[in-house]
Amino acid sequence: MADPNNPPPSPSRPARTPSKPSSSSQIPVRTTPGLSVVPALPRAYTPGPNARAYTPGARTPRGLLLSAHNTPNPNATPHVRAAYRAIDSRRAAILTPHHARRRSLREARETPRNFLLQLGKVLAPKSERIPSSSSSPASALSGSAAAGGRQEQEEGDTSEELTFDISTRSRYGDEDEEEEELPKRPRLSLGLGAGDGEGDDWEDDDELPQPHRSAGLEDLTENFTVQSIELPRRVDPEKDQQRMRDSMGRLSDFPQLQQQQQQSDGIDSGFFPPAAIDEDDFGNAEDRIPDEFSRLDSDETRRRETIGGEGGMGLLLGAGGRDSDFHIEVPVGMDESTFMIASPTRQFEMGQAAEAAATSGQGGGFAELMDQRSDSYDNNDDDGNDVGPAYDDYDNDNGMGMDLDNNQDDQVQAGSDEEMTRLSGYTPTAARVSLSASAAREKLGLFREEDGERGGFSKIKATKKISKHGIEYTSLPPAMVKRLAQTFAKTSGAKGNISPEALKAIMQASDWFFEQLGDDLSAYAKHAHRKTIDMSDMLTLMKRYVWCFCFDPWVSDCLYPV
Amino acid sequence: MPGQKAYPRATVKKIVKAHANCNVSKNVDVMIYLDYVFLMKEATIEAKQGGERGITGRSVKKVTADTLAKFKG
Repeated sequence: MADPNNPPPSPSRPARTPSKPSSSSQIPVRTTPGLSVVPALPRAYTPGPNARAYTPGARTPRGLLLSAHNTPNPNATPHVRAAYRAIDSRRAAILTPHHARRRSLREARETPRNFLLQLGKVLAPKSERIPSSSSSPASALSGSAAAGGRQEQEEGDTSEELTFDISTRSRYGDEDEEEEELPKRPRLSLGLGAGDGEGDDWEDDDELPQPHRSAGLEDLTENFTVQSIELPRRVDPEKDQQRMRDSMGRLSDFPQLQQQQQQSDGIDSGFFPPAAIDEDDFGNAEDRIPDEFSRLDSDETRRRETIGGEGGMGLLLGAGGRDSDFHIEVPVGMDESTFMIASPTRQFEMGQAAEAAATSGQGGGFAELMDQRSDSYDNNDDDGNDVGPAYDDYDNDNGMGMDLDNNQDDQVQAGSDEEMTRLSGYTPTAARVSLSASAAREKLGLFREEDGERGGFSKIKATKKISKHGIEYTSLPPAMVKRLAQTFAKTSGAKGNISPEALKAIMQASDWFFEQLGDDLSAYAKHAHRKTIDMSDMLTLMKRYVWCFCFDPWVSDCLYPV
Repeated sequence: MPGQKAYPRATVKKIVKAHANCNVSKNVDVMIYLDYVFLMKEATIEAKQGGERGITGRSVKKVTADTLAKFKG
């Protein structure tokens, strides 16, 4: 781009850069220290055709610049003064030693340019410029590509020295930020074919950063795009509802419940009993227990979900893996704080009222059938009624909901069911279709008829249970568990008395523990493509414990790496 | 008592086998029992830390969730 305003090169140009005779400069002012450039400044800082003079490719010898500007022109326009201020600050920056200068982090952040420059320095430390590239041989000889470009440009730009002076200074300041890299910049392929002087620096300035910026922005824009696409999905009301259901402990997909939900909107708040009811029923000390167990609940449901594909669940349930573990209903006519958790027996009764009357005490057998997770310690046998009296006071709230069948057994059963729900976070899940449930129950021969069984409170004993894989097992002998618990009770300073209720809870916890352990161990074994649980699996499991015990103050001396 | 078994090995093995649906190799049940004892100990410690005195049903229920979560692999 030839500037028509620019006169031919001024005679003072060689004087400007004495160290580089080949490089021409039109600014004689710089050669003479103390000579102020200011007098002609009013036009000085004018963008426009001179804008190319701001290219960082322009270089002036540093020593000359130091004394160039001492006194700002009093007539200078604010723009000029601002330009001077910028120049001064940059000159101060120049005066600082090269290595101690603060590098601009912007480039490092935005472009991989530094890396490329380093790479170029390593790969081609002394590479010569390709003749066909943007810079002329003369500039290559000068050792500085930018200087060469500058020189060639200035051959065309010879309009006003003062203009150039200002622009050169600011140019120099612009260049200053990049000055560390500029001499090292490998320009083999970057100058886009502008062998002649003028457009060179333009293109150099414009083209060089642009690919980097766009390259840096590509990822960002893609990411932003992806995020902006994803965000609306998250606020999808359908999913939101689903998520709320999930956060409520995967409450129910049951149409029955949904009907209830339509009837009373605030059912969600009813899942957590208000404080008054809580205090009435469970006392203050137990208030925390539902929370703790709801955490376990989420864990269990997660596990159940992961395991759901293995067949045990789906086979017996005859329903999807997302079936609710709760059977929470809000009785019609009650306020929303009243809710009841329907036992499997109740589900069954709702399905078949006639059969329910005859088999109202079937919860035990039914639960045993449905108990793939051995969680229903109560319901496995009549043993559940051991603690019937203990749960009697919990039944007050439930009794309101028990409008269908109010015999004592059912209340006790429901009470214990609710207790176990609170305890475990899930009840033995009833089949949604009660017909298939009863059929499966009959098929497995676990159907029991006697109601009178539930009357007697028998001792806790090792009972047969069925794991989720359909394998029968017996829980640990309660005597052994009791002995163990007594041992620890004594070591912790308490008396060695273990109440039946406590023993029951311990047995329940033991069952859960072994179930969890079995899941984990089988997961490890399967991951190792083994069908046998090995000692290594156990060791892996126990190593996994370490992280939580590391932060346990009681085991604070455990300093194993995670 | 010298003749008393510390724990029913076969039962422990059966329990784990039923839950894991995998065979259990030799001597793993010892480790499992050890783990179980460890769980009991942790639960006791946790209950005591939580201000419970003695082992009651309530205290056991209170610490069950946390302790089980701790022992999750």
